[in-house]
Amino acid sequence: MNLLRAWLKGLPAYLWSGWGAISSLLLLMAGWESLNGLYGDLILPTPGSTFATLFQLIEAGSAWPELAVTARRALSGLALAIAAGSVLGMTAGVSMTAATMSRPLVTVLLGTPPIAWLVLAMLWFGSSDGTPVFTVFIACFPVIFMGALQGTRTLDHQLKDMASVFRLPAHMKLFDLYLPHVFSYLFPAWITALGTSWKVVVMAELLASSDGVGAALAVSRSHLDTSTTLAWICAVVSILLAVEYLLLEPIKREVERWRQLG
Amino acid sequence: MNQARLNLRDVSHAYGLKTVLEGIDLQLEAGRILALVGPSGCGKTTLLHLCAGLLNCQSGQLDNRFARPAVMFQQPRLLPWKTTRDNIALGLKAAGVSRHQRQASVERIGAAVGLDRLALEQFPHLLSGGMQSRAALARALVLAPDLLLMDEPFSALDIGLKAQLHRLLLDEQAARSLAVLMITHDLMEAVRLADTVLVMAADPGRIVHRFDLDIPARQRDDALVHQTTAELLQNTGVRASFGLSASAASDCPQRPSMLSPGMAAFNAPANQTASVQRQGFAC
Repeated sequence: MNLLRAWLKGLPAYLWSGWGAISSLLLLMAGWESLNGLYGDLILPTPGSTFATLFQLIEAGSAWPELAVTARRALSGLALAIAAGSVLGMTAGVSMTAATMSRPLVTVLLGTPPIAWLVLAMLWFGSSDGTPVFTVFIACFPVIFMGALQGTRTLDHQLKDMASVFRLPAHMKLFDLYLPHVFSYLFPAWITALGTSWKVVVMAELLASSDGVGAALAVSRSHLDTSTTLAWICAVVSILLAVEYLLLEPIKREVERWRQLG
Repeated sequence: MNQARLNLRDVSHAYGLKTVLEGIDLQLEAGRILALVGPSGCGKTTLLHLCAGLLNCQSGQLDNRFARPAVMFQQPRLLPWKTTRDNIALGLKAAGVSRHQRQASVERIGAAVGLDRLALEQFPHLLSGGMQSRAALARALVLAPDLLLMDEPFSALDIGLKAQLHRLLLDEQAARSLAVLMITHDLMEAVRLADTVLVMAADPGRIVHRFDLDIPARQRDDALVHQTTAELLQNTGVRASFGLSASAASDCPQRPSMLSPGMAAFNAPANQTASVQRQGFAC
């Protein structure tokens, strides 16, 4: 597939441009190390011992299964939210009435704290996968919905007129007119939702599940094991960074190539 | 030979309470070029949108018997995320033409309007304004339309480019007996291209004058166009519709006129008709 080839071709140059990001991450580590000097190992273990703990967890074979469980839940919730949010948001965007009516509802959804949804989900779904998946879905959905809605509403009406004059059929209006424009609103919303999904899934697991990273964090907290806690946090954040910068960002660059040129 | 024509009878249009067009009558047959000139805000674009089917006709009759109308808008309105080539092929794709045939048609029309391969592969925002206009014209012409509706299509171009695209348009028009309804606020452009010039006045938009030009557009030279434009500009009704002061230059050139005043004071309200008829043509 063209997209995949372009992704692979652009990867080395893109990674090379990542030195700036890496150096700022290293500065963060330096700050972390100096705080350790101030507060001691119990409050904040050094980055070195944190990553050593993480490697121990990986060696012992307990890291990947937990991360896989967490990723499965986060990504199922996110996938549902992306599907429903994108389709419904674009549908609502086409009609002025639907846009006006859905906006306050989405504000209500956005304003309700995820922890409140989590409590409801625990009552509805118990300790099954349903609880984290639902919580992730409900936390991500309004963000994506709003992105799709805004994107659809902001399409230039001159281009819409042009499309109807040239008698574009419905599928061409979708793929050649709406989607390329909506994408630049939708994609940032997807990235925001991805971050939200990881945060929310760990929180949901901490309170409602017996496995996954959240549950492992609950255990390490009860053991007052700060370095294991930090190791899990580092693992989750690293995966999030990897997905965003190695997968999503290059795709975005390729799809929005027309915008960057010139 | 065929019944292809555009017929408007007593068409009026209002946005809310504001009447923008009132009692518009016009007829356009295959192979004719009709220019609508008038000041900004006199409802020219509304009239074109009615003809293009972008607005519903509120009152009066609008009968468009052309099978393949195409529109060239005031702005190029190219899709920024598609290459120039795909933009030009848009209408063909919508009509279900195969990719291979589309490419061939785009190459041919691209060469005709002066877009080389490099320009065809680029995204529209990398092209100059003139190139974008060519692409917009190509996108309309590639459909082999029988009616071309144009809304001040060349207003943003320099005179050289304008002349080039005028020639191109006239060639295409003659080759396929294309009917053109063209809106412009440039009187000289109208005189250069049109078989019939309709002058509109604002508040509400209405047609106040009609001039038929006898010499075919391709045979008009610059001197003739300038002279005729100057003549038109001395017409009191034309001056009034553009809001120019009534004191037209008094000494008229003595060359024979190519204007034949078809229906002077065409469709004008009664009081204005009287004044225009009294003035008649200054020359």
